[in-house]
Amino acid sequence: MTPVPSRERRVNRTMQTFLTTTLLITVIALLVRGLKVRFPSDFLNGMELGLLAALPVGMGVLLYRAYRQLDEYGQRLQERAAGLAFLLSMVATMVGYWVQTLAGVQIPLWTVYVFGLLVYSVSVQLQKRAG
Amino acid sequence: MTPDAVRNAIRDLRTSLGWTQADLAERLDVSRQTVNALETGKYDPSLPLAFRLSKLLSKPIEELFFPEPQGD
Repeated sequence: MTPVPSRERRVNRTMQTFLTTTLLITVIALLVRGLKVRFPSDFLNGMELGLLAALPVGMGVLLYRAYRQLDEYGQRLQERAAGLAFLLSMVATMVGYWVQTLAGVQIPLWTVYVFGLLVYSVSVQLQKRAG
Repeated sequence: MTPDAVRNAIRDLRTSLGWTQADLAERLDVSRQTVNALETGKYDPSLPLAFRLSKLLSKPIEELFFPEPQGD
């Protein structure tokens, strides 16, 4: 079996930590939310808010760590994909806004996130093929 | 004017040393994907990485990377 280079092992470890941490915080936040519904209190309310605030911070720190561990080619792929996803998401948001205004329909906000993540994933894969 | 494409001799030198892409990646501290992108010419390395390659493969940079011959 081909050994996995240490650079890849480090990135994989960080990504595993990222997924575990994100899942853990989400599960605890959901548990706290469940408790809050049954036993409403300021303490649980504050705890839920704190956990929800910790989630993006934790994700940001771990994603940044993973990015720093990538080599130069990996970083270039991610940067290009992120740039393209950001730009197209901005365009999609504007188009979505016009459609909402002109057609009088409601487009949920999460579609922008899904669109951005899709563009990001497709962009990374296309760049891996094209170089 | 389009810039000249750059070719390289990394694959030939690597195989002559009996190394796999994973071996070279480990020695360069990069991923296998990066080694593959370098060998197939999809990615031109930064100067620091080019110097690491040069040192590792015991070849001057100009022997590792050279412009693709232009057809008339």
